[in-house]
Amino acid sequence: MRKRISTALAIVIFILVIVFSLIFAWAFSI
Amino acid sequence: MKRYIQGTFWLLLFLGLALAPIILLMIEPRAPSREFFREFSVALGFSGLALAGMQFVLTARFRFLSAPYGTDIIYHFHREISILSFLLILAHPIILFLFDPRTLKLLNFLSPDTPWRARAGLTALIAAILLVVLSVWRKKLKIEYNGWRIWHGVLATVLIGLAMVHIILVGYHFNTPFKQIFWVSYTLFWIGLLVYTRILRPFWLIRHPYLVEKVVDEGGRTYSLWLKPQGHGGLKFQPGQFAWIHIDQLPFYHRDHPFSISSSAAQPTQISFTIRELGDFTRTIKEIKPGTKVYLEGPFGIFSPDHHPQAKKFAYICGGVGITPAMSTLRTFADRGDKRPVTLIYANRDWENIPFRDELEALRSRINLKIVHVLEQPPEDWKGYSGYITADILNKELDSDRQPNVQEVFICGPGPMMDAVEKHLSALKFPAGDYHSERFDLA
Repeated sequence: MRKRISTALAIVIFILVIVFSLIFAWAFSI
Repeated sequence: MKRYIQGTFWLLLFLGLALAPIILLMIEPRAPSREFFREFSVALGFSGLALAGMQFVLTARFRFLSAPYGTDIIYHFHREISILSFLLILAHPIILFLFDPRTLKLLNFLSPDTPWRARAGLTALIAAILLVVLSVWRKKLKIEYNGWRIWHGVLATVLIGLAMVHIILVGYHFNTPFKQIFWVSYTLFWIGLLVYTRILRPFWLIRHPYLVEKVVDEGGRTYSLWLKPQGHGGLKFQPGQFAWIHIDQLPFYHRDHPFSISSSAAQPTQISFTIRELGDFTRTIKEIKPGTKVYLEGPFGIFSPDHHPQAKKFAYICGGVGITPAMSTLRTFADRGDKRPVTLIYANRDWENIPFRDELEALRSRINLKIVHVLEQPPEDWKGYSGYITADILNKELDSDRQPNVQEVFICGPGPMMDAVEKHLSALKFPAGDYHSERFDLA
């Protein structure tokens, strides 16, 4: 159970990082 | 509740530090605009590096960090987030190569036209690839654990160091003194962390040594290593916790191993670790001479009844040397005069090789302890349970009240046994938050 929560959190952080990277790229390309 | 608040705080701080570079670089005045794919690639590189750098924090053995989650979860998270950060780092050059194939020529390491920023980036990337390959396939590649650990640290340092050099030499986004100061501070933070874990903490451990008092044969190829603090007050710990042990080696070498403490938490100046002969290192325990110098790093772990002060009853489901944290708890309960009921379901191969068999019997007169032996190869006249720990045994021997916070159950033993017991407890409708396990497969 704890391991599954840890995996889920790692994936959430990964997705958030990609979302922020897209925002960063958009901000610097306009 | 305090544990959940701490856990959430560290998680949010982790996320904040991972996102800090790209958020701060967006602050006005920004660097001039470029193509979307180039900036996306740059952002992934920054974030991947920030996440990779955070691995130094995760593996620095900060007790305040592991306290809310447990050390096993910190290492599990480290393994997973490292692979994800590697994917981000790898995506950085791949996106550049795909959208601007002219950049492929930067891969020519030896060409005089290749700038040093590219050489630093490429070397950092090779270090990242080696890190992941050697870690994921260490056992398949038959790489010895201690050697691997040294190379793991070296490659991680090369990766972070050269990636920092790469970013500083590119320097595109550091167009204001504030952003330059931020990046220098970020770099100094990683260097400071490295200095703390590799130099300052080992020095502290050297100033707090222990001496081996005796090595006791507990049966079943299991030995207890008894230690006495030399010139300090010993180790304050909770029953069920573990520590990293450096035996006859200065802590600078990082040739330490994690073991559960088996002695009473009420006696911080008499520490014991109970270790079974399972590998090259553990086979040497019985040969350790009294007077040998030992350094302890810890305590760590949340596999402790002290984390559940509200519990009315406890149960330990142990296999073989997995009895170690239970021994610490039972000895502590005896010293504290804690009379809360404890059920011990204890699986072993045969009657003759049960570690602590006699001491457990003796403890029954001092605490409220019920012992249920389960033997794989029982003697002929055996009237107890035989075979493995089944759902039927658990259903009969554990508390029939399956309400939350009544009976806290601790599982410790070989991996397959723990998997099976967790599955049985789930099927028997035990509250998921009331059974606990801690796994030492940290590498």
